[in-house]
Amino acid sequence: MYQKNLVLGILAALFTPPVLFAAPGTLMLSGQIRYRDGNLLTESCTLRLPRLKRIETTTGDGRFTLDDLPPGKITVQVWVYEQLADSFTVALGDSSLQLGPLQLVPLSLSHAETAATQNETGNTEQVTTDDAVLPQAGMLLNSNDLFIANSFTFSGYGFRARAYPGQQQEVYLGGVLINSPVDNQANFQLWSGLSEVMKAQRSGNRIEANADGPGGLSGSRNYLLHAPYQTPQRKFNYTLSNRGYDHRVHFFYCPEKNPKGMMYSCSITRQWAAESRVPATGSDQYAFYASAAKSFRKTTLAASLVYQNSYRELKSAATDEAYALAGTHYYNANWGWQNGMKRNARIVTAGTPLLALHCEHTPSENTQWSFALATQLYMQANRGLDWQDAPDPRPDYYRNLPSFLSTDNPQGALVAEQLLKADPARLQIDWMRLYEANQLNYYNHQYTEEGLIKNIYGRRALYVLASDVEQQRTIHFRTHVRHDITASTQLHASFSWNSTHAHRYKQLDDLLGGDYFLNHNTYAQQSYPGNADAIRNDLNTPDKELHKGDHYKYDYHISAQHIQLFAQVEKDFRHWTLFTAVSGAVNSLQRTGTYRNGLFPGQSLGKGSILLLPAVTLKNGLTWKINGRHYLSARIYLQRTGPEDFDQVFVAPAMRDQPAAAAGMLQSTILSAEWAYIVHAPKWNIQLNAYQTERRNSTQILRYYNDEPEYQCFVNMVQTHLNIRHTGLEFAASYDLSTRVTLNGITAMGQSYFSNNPDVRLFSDNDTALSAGVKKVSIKNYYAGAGPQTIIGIGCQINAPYRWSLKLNAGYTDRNFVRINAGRRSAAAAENSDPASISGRAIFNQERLPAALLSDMLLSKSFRVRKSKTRPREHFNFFCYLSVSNILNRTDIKTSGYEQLRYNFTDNDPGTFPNKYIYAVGRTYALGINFKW
Amino acid sequence: MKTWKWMICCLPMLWADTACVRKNYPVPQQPADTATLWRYQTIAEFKANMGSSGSKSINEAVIISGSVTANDRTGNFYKQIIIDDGTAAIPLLLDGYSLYTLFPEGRHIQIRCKGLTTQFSNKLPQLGYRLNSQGTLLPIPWQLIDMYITKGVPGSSPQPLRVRLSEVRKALPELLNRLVLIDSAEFSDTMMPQSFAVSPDLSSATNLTIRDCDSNTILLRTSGYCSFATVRVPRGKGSIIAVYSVYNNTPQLLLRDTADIHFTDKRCP
Repeated sequence: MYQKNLVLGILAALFTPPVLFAAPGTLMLSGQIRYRDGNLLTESCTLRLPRLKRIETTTGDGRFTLDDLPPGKITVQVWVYEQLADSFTVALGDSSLQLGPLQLVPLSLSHAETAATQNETGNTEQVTTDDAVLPQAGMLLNSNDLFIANSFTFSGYGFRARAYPGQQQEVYLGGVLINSPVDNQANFQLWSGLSEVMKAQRSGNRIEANADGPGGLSGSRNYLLHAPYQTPQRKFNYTLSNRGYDHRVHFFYCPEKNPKGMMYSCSITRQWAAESRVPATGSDQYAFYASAAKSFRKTTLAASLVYQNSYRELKSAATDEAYALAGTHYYNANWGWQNGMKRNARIVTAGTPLLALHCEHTPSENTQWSFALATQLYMQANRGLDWQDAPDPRPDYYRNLPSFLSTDNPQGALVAEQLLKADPARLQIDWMRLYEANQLNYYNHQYTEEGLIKNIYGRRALYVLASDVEQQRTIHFRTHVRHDITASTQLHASFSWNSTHAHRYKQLDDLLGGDYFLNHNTYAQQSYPGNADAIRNDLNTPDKELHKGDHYKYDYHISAQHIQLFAQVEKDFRHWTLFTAVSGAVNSLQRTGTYRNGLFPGQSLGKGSILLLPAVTLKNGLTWKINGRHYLSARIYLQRTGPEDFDQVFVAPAMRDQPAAAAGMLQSTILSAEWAYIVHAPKWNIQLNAYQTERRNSTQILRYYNDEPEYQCFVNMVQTHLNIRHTGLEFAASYDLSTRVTLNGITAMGQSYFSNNPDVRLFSDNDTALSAGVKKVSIKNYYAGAGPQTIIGIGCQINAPYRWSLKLNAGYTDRNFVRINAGRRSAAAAENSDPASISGRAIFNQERLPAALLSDMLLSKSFRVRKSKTRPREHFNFFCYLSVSNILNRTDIKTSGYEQLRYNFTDNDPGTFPNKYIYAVGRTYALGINFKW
Repeated sequence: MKTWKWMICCLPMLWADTACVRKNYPVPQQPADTATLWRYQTIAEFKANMGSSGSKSINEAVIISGSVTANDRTGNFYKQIIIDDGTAAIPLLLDGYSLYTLFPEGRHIQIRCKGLTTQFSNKLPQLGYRLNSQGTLLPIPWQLIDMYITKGVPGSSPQPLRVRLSEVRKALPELLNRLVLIDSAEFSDTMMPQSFAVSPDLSSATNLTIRDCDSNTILLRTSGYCSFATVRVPRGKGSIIAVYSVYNNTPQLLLRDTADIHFTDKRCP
């Protein structure tokens, strides 16, 4: 991948003036490594001086300063992700040297899950994470951070570094901040098919200094979308797999920059599976990308277009009882047989076109200014079953399982269990019954429209397939400036503006044999018997019969704006590096209802008030470069912000305009500190991190069916004054046993837990009172349920002769706790229960999932074939790989679990709605070939 | 140029296998005509074998069939449907909600009774699953319904038996659970401002009085949970269709829906 000719177009060395800052008696060498078009490097790389046995790193933009150098010839090796990219030699005379720009081809780097072999020309082929291991998440984890890179193996088993929420990572795409102002998250699925394109990226890990923006607790990631950042190549990839897809076809084309300064790149990808390991979970994804750029003397203009369309059939979590009845941990309750075909009810479709424009202007060597403008249309539909006045059709619904009978009718429970075990198809959706119920339900429906009474006699659908649809139109703008105030002081500043208009509604997709459906709230019918208006979701079109494509249940718009100002100053001393960053942002949110809800006619229709949620972030860091090999860093992060997720700001946005602010929502505070010790030795690389983070006064809203006698309906649990603490240690190391063998190790031990008892208010969906009393739930010291809190892993990478490579990993996860139901730790649940008793422990204890042993491997081989006898120097390059995960074929690993939010308050029995789990799939593989020419 | 040729070669692969992923599902056909469901006993014969009190497990291969005359559509019947084959009728206890979605009125069904139990509950004969330890007849579990019941085609609900109020003032075993039609009936004066049922917070069921112009009366029992509970009772006089039932020795009517009441004439003088 790194083309041998680290084009040292350079070595202007001979013509550059002596550096004035060199200490008397010593020599200094400085310079900057850049992309081929003069753009800044996107990742820091390592410089090794073999003769002097010294190792230094460049800054994030490729600048370096090597001091205390003796006179004479010095060979500098440029290592990128522990791979030698190239080297150059300079002769130092009596004075220091400042080199010109050292041009390197763009770095599309992913050392984490890379089995790299270098061919004779210096080209390095890789199996990147996205190619072979986990296509969806791979690009997330391309990182130069030793810990993040090595922890990748565990991500498929629920591990999330430090257990931070997704909102705590800023994502930039094509120069703009892509986090949605609606939920403050970036949807990685939308460009996951473009793995080759997204390899060009710049990351700011955790709370390190970050050129792009303040970042969150998890840092930031900047995908350099445009053509100038792409690696010139023609590449075809085919992968056969049994993971998220069966087949993957990928084509990427990026020619060299032409003499007129034009650069192009394009990519097209499709990956699909008729059915993956879990039954009825097919997927299909298309991705298209095209980019063009032109560079002028000081300016580069670029435009890129991205289009993605995806279709996924989902798997469900299930209880242990359902898994046992099905006899497999691949049980999926979302599908059933229909006319001899497996049909999945839960389908997610998504599509987005994105057009991004980018202008980068470099008026001087010290200053770089960029502007980016992007517009994005985004649509996502989550399809599932919906029903009215009919039994719950989900086969794993608690009333449909034998355990429901076990108390009152144990004999019936036994027969039902035998029946289900004998015929597992009974554990799937009975589509025939749903059609039958609709087709038999003749109903005379009368309603008034424009003063006329209409009468409809037909089959009123009881079961339908419907989608929760979200459509967004977003405009992103961002300008960013980098200015070198002095040779060692750098300023980054940016301004971002994002404006989103979102439309959310429920859409009727399939009447399943019925003629029409009604826009009724059946739960309100139970709460307000005889109140004809209460059951109408929209009083403006009451009782109108619905057909395919119609909206119902809820329909509202969101206007969201996000403005952010950011500045960071970084100062580099001989033994110290300091930075300070500050950011101010405002998020504005407004709900506009389209429906006049029968329960909330005054609070549902029209524009609601505009909520302004300011945020301030302050970040500081200090690194002590003890010597060329040892670094010690300390960083702090302080943020004051409101909830930035729309769904955590409004109590029940589907029905009414009721901000949670009235329920005690506060500005939350985040305090974080981390310490890092890093060693870069010739054979050793070590990273040790310690961290502590306090998230105080958070607000969290949970929506579920509440079985408490006073509710018996869907409620919105608003938790305020919620404090969460994250603390722990992370360690990663690699050791070059020889030039061909590298050993890796990683461990993380953390604790993410609730550190107080929050205030809780329960707002019923259908309660027109709009108020709720404060309750307390006792969740202090319960784990936040965010994946394994302990991981240990070891790995070995062997680069064998003849361009064979093998990587083996073994891992261990533990202290993985299920996500708790706070309502189960309330006074209502604690009544008549002794926490020390067996039954009490079943209610209050947080289940710890069993520890798990993991194993995976990656085998690769590269070779090349001469194109023709007449062109002996031109070759076709092939790269084959086989990646196997979960080699031991363990299908009993529970990767995650949660307590159901519904709880049997009448009997105080946690067994009525037991925990649900997701199991790891067994042994999976990806067999692929890359072809470059 | 060669690059574009390669890209064109790739295109067919991109569209391969699409139909296997994003499928279209044709609407399934209605169940086949099973109007000729086997019947080995009439319901009248079946009830005769029940005796006159107590409970009885059915260990023989008895099959009965009939049409659904009442279900839980409005909530006035709870966890049961009424089956009538023209000779007699019997409630079938089923442990589920919204039974009407599977058993709409008029649907013909067949019941394989082996393994089921009959019981007189307050002198009303019923068919259910088994007795629990307290001797109460349990409904057939939802998960086991297919084991005992075969569903036939939908049809029209059986015609009610026309009776006079004076005839049914005393409990008539042959009429129990049958759909009956009574002419010239009205709600008694004391019922006038009342709705069909009081709130379930006050009482789970309400007894209304139906009378004729000769002052013969019978109780009309309605559940506080039914969908027409809050509807005011009609003032006029006319016909009413209901399921004839009994609670111990007291006959009573069970209303399926307010559409079964046609009190449009002037009240009795």
